[in-house]
Amino acid sequence: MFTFLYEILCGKNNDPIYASQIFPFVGLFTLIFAILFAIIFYMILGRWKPIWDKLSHWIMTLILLITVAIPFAIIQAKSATQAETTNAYIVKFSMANALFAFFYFVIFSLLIKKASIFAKRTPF
Amino acid sequence: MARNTYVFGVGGTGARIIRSLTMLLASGIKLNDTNKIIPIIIDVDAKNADTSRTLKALEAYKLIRATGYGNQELKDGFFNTDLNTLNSIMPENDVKIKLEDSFQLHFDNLETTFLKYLDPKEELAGDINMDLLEALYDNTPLDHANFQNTELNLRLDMGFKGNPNIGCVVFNTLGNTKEFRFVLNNISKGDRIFIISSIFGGTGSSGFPQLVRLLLENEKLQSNLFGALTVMPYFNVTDKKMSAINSDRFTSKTEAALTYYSKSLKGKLNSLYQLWDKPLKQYENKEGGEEQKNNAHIIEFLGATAVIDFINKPDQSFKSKDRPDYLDFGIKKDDQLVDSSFFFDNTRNKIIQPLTLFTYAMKVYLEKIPQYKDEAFYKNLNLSKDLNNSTFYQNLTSFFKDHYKSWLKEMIDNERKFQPFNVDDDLNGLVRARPIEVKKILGVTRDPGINDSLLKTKLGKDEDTLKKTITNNEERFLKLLFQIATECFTKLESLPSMV
Repeated sequence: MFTFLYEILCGKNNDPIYASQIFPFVGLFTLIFAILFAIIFYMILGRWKPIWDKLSHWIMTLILLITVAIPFAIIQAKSATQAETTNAYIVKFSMANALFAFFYFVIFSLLIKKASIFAKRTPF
Repeated sequence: MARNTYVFGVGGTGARIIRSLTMLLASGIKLNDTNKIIPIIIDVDAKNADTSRTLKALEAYKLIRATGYGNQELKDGFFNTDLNTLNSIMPENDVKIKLEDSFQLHFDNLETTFLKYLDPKEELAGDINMDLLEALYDNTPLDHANFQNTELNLRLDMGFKGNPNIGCVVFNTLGNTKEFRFVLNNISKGDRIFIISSIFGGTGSSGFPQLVRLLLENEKLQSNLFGALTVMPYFNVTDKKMSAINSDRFTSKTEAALTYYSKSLKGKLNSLYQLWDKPLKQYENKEGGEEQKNNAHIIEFLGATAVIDFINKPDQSFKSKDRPDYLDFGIKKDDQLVDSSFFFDNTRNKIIQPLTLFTYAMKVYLEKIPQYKDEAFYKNLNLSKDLNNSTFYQNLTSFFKDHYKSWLKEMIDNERKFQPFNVDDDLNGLVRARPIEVKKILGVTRDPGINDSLLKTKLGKDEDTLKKTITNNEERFLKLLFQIATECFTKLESLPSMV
């Protein structure tokens, strides 16, 4: 599934390791990061105290997730392909991963915000 | 079985004590085995400002209670008592009687002078009965320099201006009012009757014995429990030559009325509460109408506690009407400034504690909640729209701001001062003589007492829990206020006490 999604945005790479290892691994862990960030935001902080529950906090959490997702994709791609520099495809892949991280977080936010106490109405 | 209690407030003092009673009941004071409290204000002074604001407070209470709880019977929480009008006990299928949905009992034909009230067709001129009237009552014409002494030319819709001899004549017609006839027909066997009046004025002192007589003329009511509070002088009025009210006569009028009561009320009451205080405050001499707006006084607050005491007593604790209980109220120490520590434990626990909760709720509602616009509980309760637009919140704001807070401040401004709360301080300093200490270690706050974080956390968590069982936003909001006030009281730990 992840391979399909990344190839829609980045196109197919000639190196088969992308399809066999990098896309599934990065896709899965980006999804897990997004779930973790949403759980921390809504279920842990969002049920503990009203300290990190507003729209501004949600946007900052999202930015943090994206800043994790971009280097994660770059590092994984470079490590698996043993590339010494960050080529254009890797940059494109990291941007696609950022976009997916954004979507995952938005979707998980909508799914679990009801379980929160203080962030029930965040982002809307 | 739950019973109703009919509380008659006669005259200006009666209305002011019912005002205090409204505040106590709003604070959630618990009443035993009580279904409804039906206050009935009897004041012929149609424009009396004291009566008007009492009526406004009662109306606001009724609306808040009806919107928040509907017909539910509740045991605790703010506004839990069903304080209602006579209309609320009207049988649904009774189409014969139409009552105004009001807390005030209205007399007819009082928009005239006492003489015209007695002789509406002016048939007595030159008659021997007119001579008798002139022998009994002062007949100074209104254009005379001493018109303030007049009795026969006194306008009745301005009150009796300290003339019980006029009041008792008018009160004779009380039994003809449809509201009174309705009361007589609808008081049930276990219901209780309580009458509040002052003894040193006109309306209360004359209305009280007449009211008891008229009620007990009905054989059906002979077995009902009757209580009364009579308030003796606790303030003076300034000397004013042109006024019919003179506080130099308060004591002699009190003595005269007490002598009369000792005979006429014998065997008619189960409990008689009496209150007085050294008159320290001199009110401006206003004869009535829109100008008569006296500040609330600790005596009126204590008067309201007498009503609560009467309502809460079990039936078996009352003696027969031949051996009534005479009850006074005392505080621990005589001082010009009274706070919570001056009361004995029973009053502190049953009256002052709920008042403290209600005062915390007032502060949170008026000062904190409007700042919490971004909080989830605020959005869940739709407060951004309803706080300013819904009738419920408009009345709640008015009750807290215009009625309760004003009532507290008036008692602070009066003499003797009653100041259980520092109304304008922050939440940590709210309870006088017992501030909540902000604890710090090496300059770092370890326990901030009541702060925004505590309030937002508690409001958010409690609203989330309450939402699971209460769908009505207004009911949920009232419960939420009660819970946040309880949390604040937990931080306070206990009321101040006298060492």
